[in-house]
Amino acid sequence: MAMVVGCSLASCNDFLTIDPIDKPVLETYYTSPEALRSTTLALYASKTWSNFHMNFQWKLDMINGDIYYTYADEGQWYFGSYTSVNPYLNEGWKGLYNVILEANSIINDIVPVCSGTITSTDIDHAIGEARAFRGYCHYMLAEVWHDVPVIENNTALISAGILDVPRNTQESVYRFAMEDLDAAVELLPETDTDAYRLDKRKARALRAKLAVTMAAHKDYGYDRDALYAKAAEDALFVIENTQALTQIDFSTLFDVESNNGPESILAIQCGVLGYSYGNARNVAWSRSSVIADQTWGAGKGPTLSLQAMYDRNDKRRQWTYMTNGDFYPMLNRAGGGYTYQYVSRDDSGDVLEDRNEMLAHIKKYIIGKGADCDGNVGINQDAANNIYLMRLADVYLTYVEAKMGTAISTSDATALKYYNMVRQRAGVSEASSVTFIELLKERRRELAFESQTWYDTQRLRYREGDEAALAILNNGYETGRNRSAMIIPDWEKYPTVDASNENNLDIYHIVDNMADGGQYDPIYLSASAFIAPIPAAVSSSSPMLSQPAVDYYGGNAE
Amino acid sequence: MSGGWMQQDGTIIGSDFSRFNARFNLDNNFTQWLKVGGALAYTRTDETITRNDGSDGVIMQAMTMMPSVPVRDFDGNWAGPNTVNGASTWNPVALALMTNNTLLRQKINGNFYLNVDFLKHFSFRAEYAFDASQNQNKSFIPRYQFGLVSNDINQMMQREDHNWYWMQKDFITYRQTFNELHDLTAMVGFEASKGKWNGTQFIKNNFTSDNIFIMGADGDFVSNTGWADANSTASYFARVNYGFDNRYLITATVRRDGSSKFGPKNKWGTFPSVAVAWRIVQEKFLQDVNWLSNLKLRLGYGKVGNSNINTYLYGSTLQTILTPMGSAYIPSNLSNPNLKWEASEQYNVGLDFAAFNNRLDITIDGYLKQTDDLLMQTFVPAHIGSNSWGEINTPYANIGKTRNTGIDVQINARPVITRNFSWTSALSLSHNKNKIVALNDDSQRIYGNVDWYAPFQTVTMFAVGQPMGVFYGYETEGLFQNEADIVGHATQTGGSTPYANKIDKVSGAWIGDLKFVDQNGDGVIDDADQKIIGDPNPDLTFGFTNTFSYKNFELNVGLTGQIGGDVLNWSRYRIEGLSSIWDNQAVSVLNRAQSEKIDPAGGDEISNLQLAKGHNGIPRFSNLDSNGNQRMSDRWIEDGSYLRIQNISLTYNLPEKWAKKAFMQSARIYFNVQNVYTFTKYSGYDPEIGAYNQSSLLQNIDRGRYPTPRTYTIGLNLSF
Repeated sequence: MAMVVGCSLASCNDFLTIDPIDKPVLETYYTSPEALRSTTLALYASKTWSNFHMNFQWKLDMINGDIYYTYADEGQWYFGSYTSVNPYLNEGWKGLYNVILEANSIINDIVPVCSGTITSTDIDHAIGEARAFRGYCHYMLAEVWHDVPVIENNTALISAGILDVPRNTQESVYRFAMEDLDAAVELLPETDTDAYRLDKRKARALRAKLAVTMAAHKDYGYDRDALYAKAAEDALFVIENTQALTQIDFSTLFDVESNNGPESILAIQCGVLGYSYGNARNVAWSRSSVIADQTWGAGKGPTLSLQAMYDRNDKRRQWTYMTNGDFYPMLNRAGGGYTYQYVSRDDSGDVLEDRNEMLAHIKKYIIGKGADCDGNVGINQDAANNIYLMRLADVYLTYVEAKMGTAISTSDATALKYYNMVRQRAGVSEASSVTFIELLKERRRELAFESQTWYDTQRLRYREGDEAALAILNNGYETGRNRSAMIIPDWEKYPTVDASNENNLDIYHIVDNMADGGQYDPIYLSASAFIAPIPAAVSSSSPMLSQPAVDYYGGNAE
Repeated sequence: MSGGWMQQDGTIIGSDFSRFNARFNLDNNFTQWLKVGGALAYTRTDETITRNDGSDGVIMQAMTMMPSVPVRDFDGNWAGPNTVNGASTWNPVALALMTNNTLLRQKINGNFYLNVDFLKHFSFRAEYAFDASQNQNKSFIPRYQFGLVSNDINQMMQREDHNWYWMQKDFITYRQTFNELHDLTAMVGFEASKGKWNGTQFIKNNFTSDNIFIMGADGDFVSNTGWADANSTASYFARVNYGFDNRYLITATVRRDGSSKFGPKNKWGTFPSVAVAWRIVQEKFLQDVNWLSNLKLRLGYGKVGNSNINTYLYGSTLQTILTPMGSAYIPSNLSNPNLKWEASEQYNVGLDFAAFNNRLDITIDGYLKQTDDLLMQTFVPAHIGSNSWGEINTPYANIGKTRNTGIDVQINARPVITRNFSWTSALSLSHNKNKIVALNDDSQRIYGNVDWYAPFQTVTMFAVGQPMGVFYGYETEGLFQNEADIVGHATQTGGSTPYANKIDKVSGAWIGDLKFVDQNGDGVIDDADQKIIGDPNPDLTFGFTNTFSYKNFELNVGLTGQIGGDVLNWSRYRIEGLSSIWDNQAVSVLNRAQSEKIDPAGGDEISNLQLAKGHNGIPRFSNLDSNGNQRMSDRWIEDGSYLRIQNISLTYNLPEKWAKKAFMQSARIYFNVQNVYTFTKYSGYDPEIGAYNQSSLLQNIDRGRYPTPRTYTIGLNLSF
């Protein structure tokens, strides 16, 4: 017999109330310090940064003329010809603002619902981490786009329906970032039990970088000397409270074993956990499938001007890029190690790996196949070596820059001590003084492919103007090598290039124009390349971004 | 009882489909006043799926693979390109065959009813239904090598889903006729349903074998995930039907629907409807018009609710993201406690007309449907919020208002009926016009995009006053003819001072590049020069079927088609865009724009170059595409109008007396061709694209659609 089922309004509402059973709910989750830390962990996660580190970050190494790659939309970065529809541009914007979104969610939405055993100290630490990330991301945005919207509370904007906000002046973005980093230094603990997390010391390293950037500006009315002094104080604190750089091996810095080691100040945490959860450089930069699986790095290489930076004895060179004769026992272990040849052939004489126009390929962050590194690479562009956002050598060199201040060189003893420690580790001669340009060159040697050198060029520009920065970019850091330079067989002398001579450097020569057989005539970046356009995908839906920037703090517009 | 089994190979190599189903029906009249019945059905489908759609699917890879690459090399191994610098590196045949992706679905569903007549004019009916299903999806990627592309790590994913759904409905009906003139039916009832589901997904890699597709102890653990959730609905409803003299009919309904998807304050929505009909043909003044078979006028108004969104969007749950330090938790979305039912109000007017002994039958319906409080995810620019997987998503909200107006006409005719020959014909025409009446803010625009790595980020749009999902981009106006043409044109590729077109073969504009229209006349081609360049919504869709019978033969011809409805041919961007120096390209690029010397003895500086004649409008090859020739423009928009011969069938019915001799009631032989031919100017495989993920924002974007197969069937139908 059928049963008649109806329900009163009250019991019906019970029937119609279904709370999630497979995941926690925001309002009731945050009752323990571990719960809060499980959310601040996301700030360091590869996934959070994935649009930025997979699809944008090394475009900065292309525009700076360090990575040679001339392919389609990505290649536009090498030529400085990117426009607002360049898809990588949009990925960078989305990537950095996504980190800011997570930081703001912690500050504005999660802290208010914390209860239980969470103490005010736990909350201070969480806010400190969130503000450090928010400040540092605003700094990077300001270096790429200059005037960008400061976003302090996404939830408030969305619930108020304020979806079209103006850009803020670069000066006020810096101010906002500095307030965040000051707060982070104040709130963070002296040390944290988790090696990957920020603490007071590491936050001071980030703040030093922002301070030297602000101090480089001549036009913003800053007390530049005070900013340089602040940067020097922070950087020195970090140096003196961290293991000496010279005790840290450079050759393994970009491998899994150095994850969150003493060199690491702040790094994106990568794992073999699926697409977007790991480091994609192992496949995006690797030369061939002899080195790693499913690679597409054959056409990328260190520019000739970058190659010309390194002294023959410089130990960093082999771990930065590979060229003829370099041997890597940790790669292609199945084949007894990997020896780089311009062209390699299999037993039947077929080309296995062909030469590129730089006769060299990238090594930094390349860790090979699963068998080469204890399974620390996956098949979804996910290798487990972290990506540095800031590392110790950068702090050393930032200290030198801060001590130099507004002068064009320095012979300060402490500055030189740390400058020379960077050089000692590399096995190259020590200097007795250093100019700003020499410092930039040292930074390029040390930090090539780590997406820092573009910011360096920006600081040169803030200090000395567009022309000085363009000169560095267009003549390859004073090497005279324009980015059109490439190294190709000298066909007149060697009309036949085959297995007998293809790995002999003598048959190649450098050309930098089409008349001589190159692919490009000299490429001169213009000042418009310094400030990236707002991605069309966002400006199309936000007309105020096309208006003049305003001061976030309500001062006079630029 | 019935049962069936079928097996089918897919159009793409390596795909197949098989189905088994069984069904059991029961109807029993126990007594005059008690009826009980029901049905039970079981279905099992097993299919091997290939990655067909999408830019990394088999079809797109087949179109873009270099033609010089063989499927297999001399040794019989999968071949691949001998360079991996660029896009298409996947051997499409290997891709289709090697990834073992299977989906097994099993489903049991049943429905039962009980009907009791009581008192004199009352009846009670209870209905129950359930649906239990289990799905198992396995995907195995083996180790492989195609040319220079290799993979040393195999990986398997296994996903299991379990679903349970029940529904029950009870209602009491009262029916009485008074004075043989007034016919009254009233009904009240209650209905409730609940669905629950859960599942798990595992990923392991480094299996010792590439041929065993079992999630056993072998292999290394990579990750797993699991989920469980439920939703429920409840409704009260009442309906009254009243008819007077079989001439005037009125129906009024009111429903109160509740859903678990809305928060405490907004669970319930009330949705009334009313319909009236006037059977004019029954009126006295038409009693003598013998040729008229039917004439009926219908008017209606109704409001219906929609709650088709995910669960618990009024609140905020946490999602996990994987990190090497363990799971991190971030909010899945921002909450919106005010989320409520979406409601559509529809007004319609209809006319049924039949004449000449029903040999001509016409139905016309006109409607106006307005949807308020659309349930959509709030769209914000990327610096304010996100709607991507694994990020904190913007809240769902009741946003905006849309309006659809349209008319449907159905004409059935039997123009010829003779002893040996007859012709029947059916024509249906539909015209619908949709328009967005309001969004949160009238100036707001919501954009749809194609894959992030293409310059196609704002290609479709919702904007007030426009149809849903219009195409948005630049308008082109031919190609640069010569230097003066570039100098005189608005700046498309800047960089120099004063701001003007940079003339450079590699990193600037050149002869043979596309010219874009400067819509706002400011001398610069930028975002502000984009406009609506197409509408995916068709103006008219139609179907036309004709059946001719001659003696025992029957010929059936069915046509379908549409007029209007633009398509964004994104597949063509891949094969005509010259955007990849490694991808295969269409033959048409051979006649692309190229420059020629004005003075053949002169140099090749731009002042001595001009656009050569005889090109087909495709811009020049430019690796960097500094001029943005590939950007979203009317270059990629095509008219999707088509006329398709949907099917032709010829049937022969065996004469009855022959059949009788073979102890059969009837016998027929038929030959049928489906998807015979399509007349269209559309250059892709098939203009009938449809919406991507059922999104009205992403309609008619051709990403390498699985082509509709042409099917030939020869059949024999025997009844005993």
